[in-house]
Amino acid sequence: MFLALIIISAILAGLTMLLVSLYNRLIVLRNRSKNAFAQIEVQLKRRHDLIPNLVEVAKGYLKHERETLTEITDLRNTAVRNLQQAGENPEDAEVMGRLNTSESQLQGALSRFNLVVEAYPELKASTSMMALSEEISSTENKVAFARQGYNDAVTMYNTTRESFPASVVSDMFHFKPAQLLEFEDHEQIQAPPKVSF
Amino acid sequence: MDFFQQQDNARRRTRWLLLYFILLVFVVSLCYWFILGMIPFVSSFCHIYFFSGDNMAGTLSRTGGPVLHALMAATVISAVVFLFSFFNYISCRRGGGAGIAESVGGQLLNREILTTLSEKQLLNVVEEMALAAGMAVPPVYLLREEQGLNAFAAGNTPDEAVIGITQGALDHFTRKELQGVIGHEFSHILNGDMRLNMRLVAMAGALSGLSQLGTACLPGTNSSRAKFRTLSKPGPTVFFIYLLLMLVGVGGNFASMLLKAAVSRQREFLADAGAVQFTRDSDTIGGALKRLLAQSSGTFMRSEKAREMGFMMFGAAGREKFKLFSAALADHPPLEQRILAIDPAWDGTLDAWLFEKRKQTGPVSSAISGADTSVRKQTVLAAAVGIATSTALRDGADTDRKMDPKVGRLLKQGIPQELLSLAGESCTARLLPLLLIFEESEKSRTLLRNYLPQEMFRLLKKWLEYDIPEAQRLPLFDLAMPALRSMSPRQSEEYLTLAGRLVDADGRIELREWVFLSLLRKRLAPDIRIMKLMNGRDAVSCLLSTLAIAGQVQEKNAGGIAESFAAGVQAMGIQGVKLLPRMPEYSTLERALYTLARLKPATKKRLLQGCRQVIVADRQITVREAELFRTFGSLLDAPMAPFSILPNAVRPAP
Repeated sequence: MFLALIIISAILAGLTMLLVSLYNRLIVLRNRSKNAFAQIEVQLKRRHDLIPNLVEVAKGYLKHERETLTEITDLRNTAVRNLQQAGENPEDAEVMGRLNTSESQLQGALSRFNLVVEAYPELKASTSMMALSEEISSTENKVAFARQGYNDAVTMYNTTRESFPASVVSDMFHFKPAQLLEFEDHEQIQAPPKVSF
Repeated sequence: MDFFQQQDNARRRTRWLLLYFILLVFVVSLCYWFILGMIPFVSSFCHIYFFSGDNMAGTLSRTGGPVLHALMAATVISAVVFLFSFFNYISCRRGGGAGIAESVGGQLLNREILTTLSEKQLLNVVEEMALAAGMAVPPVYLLREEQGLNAFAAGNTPDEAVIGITQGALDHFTRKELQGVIGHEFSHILNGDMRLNMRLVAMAGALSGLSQLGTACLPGTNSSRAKFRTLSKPGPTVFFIYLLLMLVGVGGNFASMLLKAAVSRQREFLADAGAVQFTRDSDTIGGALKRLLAQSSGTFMRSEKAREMGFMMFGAAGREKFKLFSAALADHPPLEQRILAIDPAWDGTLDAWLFEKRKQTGPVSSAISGADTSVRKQTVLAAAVGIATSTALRDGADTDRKMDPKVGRLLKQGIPQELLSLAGESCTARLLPLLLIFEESEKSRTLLRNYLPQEMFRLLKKWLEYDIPEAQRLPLFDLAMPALRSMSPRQSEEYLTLAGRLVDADGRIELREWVFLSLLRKRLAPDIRIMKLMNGRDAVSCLLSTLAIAGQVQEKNAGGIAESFAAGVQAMGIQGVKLLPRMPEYSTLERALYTLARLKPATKKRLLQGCRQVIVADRQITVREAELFRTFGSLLDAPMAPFSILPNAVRPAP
């Protein structure tokens, strides 16, 4: 009798511990995905803050590439506006769409800028230009990695949420699935590449 | 390559290996039981204590025969081993990664004082990988003396983890390859590999402890082999049993070493696959591994200590001691195997450019480092203390870390160059907090002279009479913080004791002394349980009262005090707090802050908004108030930006 009591209470204690650890695991994963989403915004802001400085430095070297620089500055200003609006109403799909478009345009302009630099070998070799392009590539990477990190975190959370022992807990405490980010150029990727001879 | 699938595989294999480990412990226990059962002394001992007077045969027949009996005994012994290894693990898990990184000669990289572009690039890469891994950015240590291409991650939890990298790795790897290497280390941190390894080490230790215990049970050996040989003359049976015990002990140890190495190799595969996941590019880690194959300098480390912790390195840190079993005992799989795992199409050729050293890069252009407005930098700058203007405070909702970067730089420029360089070096930085709490007296000087090495004391002596301007104290303290955190737990304990004695030297505690002592305590010995605001009402009363009383420009202005206090209470929307009649003791205040430091971040924000309202209520902000506010923020783990400077708003402290 006594032994049975001990065994039953041990099993109960084990189950409770399992439940608690599963619940905590879900919470950790959910918070990680939320944090990852916030990181994207932080990195976009960081990129916006960095661009005026980059343009300022590049101006001295790239006298003949005025329009590239002006384009970057303009696109940056649009993106800043859109980010601000998106932050104010995050549920508005249209605003989000605008933000995505302007961010991808800005990214395009930055990679064009890197191509321009390629065309000036002595400029490319100068130390300040090297530092500059390091900053640009790091900024671009950070934006991309933040998005990817968010998607990884969400996948991890969703997988855990749906897989067996945890799924009981997630149903019990209403852990909702999180949404993956989609590519802003979703349609472009879907469309077949055009080849002309 | 499907990196998620690969990670799952590696995890599954680790689980199997861990199961084997448990089995091993069980089998070894079983062997000991049988061997020790042969010794007449031991078997009679067991007879008396385990079978309570019955004869052996009778007991066995009633409890289910010798096999079941032996299994039960082995289970008990194994349980003891695991318990022992648990305590072993707990006792050696203390100490974060920073201490380890410093012990192998690592130097903390600081964004403020980077010298070369490659160091800056390294920090950028670490930040990028932290984003991809969804982790906080860990401190980065550079091992300047090491020319081998290697890197490591140290620390039991993601929060106390650091990343270390050798100078050789920094010189040879391209940016892309660095991403792979750092991604690999992040994967180690995220998967808790350091912890896993510590547990295995603890278990292996417990297992060898068992074999020692076995030999100690032998009659006439007195647990020492030397005595066994010289003093007693054991009979052939005892000698035979001794031999058997040694055999099982050595065999068990060897098997546990093999399993540990096998687990370590699986974790390397896991981390490689993790690096591919973070970079979404198999050329990053693949390129780095190929470069390791191509470079003659290899991954070997010079420092003996670094070789000891080879299991946490990116590549093998040194050669295996036992040549015969080097493949089975290696904690890293062969490079070729690792490359093939992430790039199955690899044909074994190495591109010519892998043999070249990467182009050296020049110093960071000042234009760029000035242009950097990353988040990290802002937090560094937020270290500076400033003086409030009423305009900055009026929009009280804005309690966040926003600040004008110029404020930080301005304040920094006012600090003597020599003090700044003291703060930058890890061993001299420890002097700064001492300097800040130092108060001239013979007793304090003696204390310092006894605690510090002679050279250190000489360095400090010059500054003992220098009066550091108030506004520069906290920034200096914060600059010294990274170095202080690198102390081992014992060192920080000693350090805190010294600081406490310095404060007590003259028998009374001043605001300045209290501020720095409690900051030190908070940062060097954190507390982690969470609490609710309602349980901390007394502590809240204490905080708000202190601010309300300290903020009055005229003495004894009871009306003003009550008004300020009420404004704060209203802003927080909390009930049951009451104004204290006089300024609380510093020890009370300290206790209150310790309690409140365990609030949730959102609640802390509410609390600090309340504090801010108390300060703003009288439209005048004194240096004292500002310093208190910043200290509160810091002690609550919610660092406040200094208010921006407006010269005519400066008001000297009463």
